[in-house]
Amino acid sequence: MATQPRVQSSQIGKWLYYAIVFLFFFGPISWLVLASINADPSSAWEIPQEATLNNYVQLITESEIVLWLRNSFILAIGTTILTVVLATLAAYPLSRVPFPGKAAFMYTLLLARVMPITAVIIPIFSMSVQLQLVNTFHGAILILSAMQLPISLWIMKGFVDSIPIDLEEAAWLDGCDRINGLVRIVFPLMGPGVAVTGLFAFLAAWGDFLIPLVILRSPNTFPIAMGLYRAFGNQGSVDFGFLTALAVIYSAPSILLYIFARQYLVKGMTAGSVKM
Amino acid sequence: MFSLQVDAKSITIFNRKFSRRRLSEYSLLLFMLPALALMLLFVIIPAGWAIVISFTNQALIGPNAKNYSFIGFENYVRLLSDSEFWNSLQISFIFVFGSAFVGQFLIGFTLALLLKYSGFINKSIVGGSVLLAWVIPEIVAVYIWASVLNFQSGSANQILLALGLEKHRWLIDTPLLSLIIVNIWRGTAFTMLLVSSALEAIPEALYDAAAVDGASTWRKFIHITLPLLRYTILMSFILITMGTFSVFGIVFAMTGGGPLGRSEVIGVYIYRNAFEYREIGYGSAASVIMLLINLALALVYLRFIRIDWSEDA
Repeated sequence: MATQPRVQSSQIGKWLYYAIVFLFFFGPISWLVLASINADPSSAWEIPQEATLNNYVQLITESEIVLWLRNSFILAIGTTILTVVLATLAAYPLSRVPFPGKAAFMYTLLLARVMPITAVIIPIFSMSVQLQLVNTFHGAILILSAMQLPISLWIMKGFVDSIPIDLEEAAWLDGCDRINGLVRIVFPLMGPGVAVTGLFAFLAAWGDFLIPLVILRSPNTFPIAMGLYRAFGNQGSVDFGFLTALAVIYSAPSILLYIFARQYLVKGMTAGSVKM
Repeated sequence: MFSLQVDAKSITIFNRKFSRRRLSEYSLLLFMLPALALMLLFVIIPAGWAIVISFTNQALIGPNAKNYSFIGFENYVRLLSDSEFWNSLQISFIFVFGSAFVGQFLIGFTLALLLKYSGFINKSIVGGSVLLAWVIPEIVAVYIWASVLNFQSGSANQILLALGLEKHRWLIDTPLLSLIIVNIWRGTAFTMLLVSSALEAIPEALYDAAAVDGASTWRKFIHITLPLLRYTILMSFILITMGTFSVFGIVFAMTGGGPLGRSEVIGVYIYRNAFEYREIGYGSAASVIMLLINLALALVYLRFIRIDWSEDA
C-alpha cells in the first residue's frame, strides 16, 4: 500500500511527458494543416474561424505547382526505379557468391552511406557540368540513385540472405539453371526488399533539397522542394495561405506512404545498423 | 532402384562438386556492375576529386575555372588561418552535441523505453507524431518552423506570451538554439526506432527471472536493459553524430548560416565558399577536412559493428 502514491506520481509524470512530446512534435504540423484551410491564415496557431479550400484552389490555378509536382514525380519515380533495379541485380551475387574482399566491400558501402553529401557536392557539380547533366532530370536521377545505392545494397542483401538456399537448390534439381532459379524463385520472394528499398529511394528523392539546389537550376526543372524554398525565401511576399497549401500538398505523398507502409519504413530505417 | 534412394541433398552436393559452379558463380558478379559503376562515378570519384581540387586554385566561373593550377597546400594554410572556418567547426560541434546527444538521443531513448510497455493508442499517437516529423520533406520542416518561430505571431511566442513571458527573437538572438530545436524535432525518430527494435530483441524471460528474484524496475533497467543495449546506444550515438554533422538543408534554408555566421555549420561554409564566393578549390579543402572528420567517426563506428558481429556469431 505504501508504494501506491509513488506509482501514481510516476504515472502522472509519464502522461505529462507524453503530452509534452506530443505537443512538441505534432503541434507544428497541426499549425500547417489548420493554416492551409484558414480563410485568413497567419503564423499564429489558431482554429480557423472560417474554413475554406480557397488556398488550394488559388495554389492550383495561379502557381506553377503542376509543373513542380510533375518534376518531383519524375525525380522520385526515376530514382526509385533505377535504385530498385540496380540494387536487386547486385543483391543476389552479394548474398550468394563468396568473393575475395567481400567483407571490405560491405564496410566500404557503410562508409559511403554515412559520407556527408555536402563534402562531395563540389566535385559532383563540376562533373555534372562536364558531363552536361546540369538542369537535366536524368542527371539528378543518376546522382540521387548513386547516393541511395549503398544503403539499398545493404537492405537488399539482407533480404536475399533470408531466402533459404534450399528453395533454389530444389529448383536446380528440377533442371533450372542458376539464372532461371534467380528469376523464378528469388526475384518473386524479394518483394518486401523491393518495397523497403523503393520506399526509401522515393522518400529520399522526393524530399531532397541539395541536389535540386545545385543541379536543377533552371526554373522549369524545379521540383516542388525548390518551388517551396524559392517561394518562402522571397521575403517580400509572405502569403501564408499559398505556402501552407503548397507545403501540405508536398508532404502528402510522404505521409501517405508512411501511413500505408509503416512497417517497411521502420525496417529500412534500422537496416544496416542494428543487426548486421 | 538405387538411384531412387539418393536423397535431394546428396544430389545437390554432387551437383555442386562437379558442375562448373565456380565459373558460373563468378559470372553472377556481373550483375553488380551497373550499381558499382554508378557508385564509382558519383560517390567514389567525387570524394577523390575533392582531394585533387583542394590543391588547386580552381574557380566556379571565370579564367580560373578551366585554367587552374596546383598551388600545393595554400588552401589548407589559408583555411586554418580563417577564423570563419574555425567558427563553422565550432558551430557544427555545438549543433551536433546539442541536437544529437542532448536532444535526439535522450528523447528518442526515453520514448522507446516508455512506449515499449504502452498500449497501441500511445504508440500510434505519441510515437506516430515523432515519426511524422521525420517523414515530411526537409524543406517543409524548415517552412513550418520558420513560422512557428516567427517573431510577430509564431506559436512559440504565443506560448511565451501565454506563460506571461516576453516575446523572443528566435532566429536573430538564438539562431543556433533554434536550429538545434528543429533538428531534434526532425531526428528523434531515428534513435527511437533503433532503440525500440533493440528492445524488442531482449527476451521477456530475462525480466521474468529478475522479477522472481525480486528485482525492482530500476534494477532491471540497470542490470538487464542497459547492458544489452550498449551496442545499440553506441551505434546510434555515432550514426546520429555523423548524420547531424551532414545536415545542410535545415540550416541553409532556415538561417543561411546567419546572422553574421552565428549558425554557420561546416556544410554551409563549404557551400558558401564554393557556390557564392565561387572558390571551388578553397571550398574543396574544407570538404576534405569534413570528410576526414567523418572518416574518423566512421572508423569508430565500424569497429563497434565488428565487435557486435563477432558476438553474434
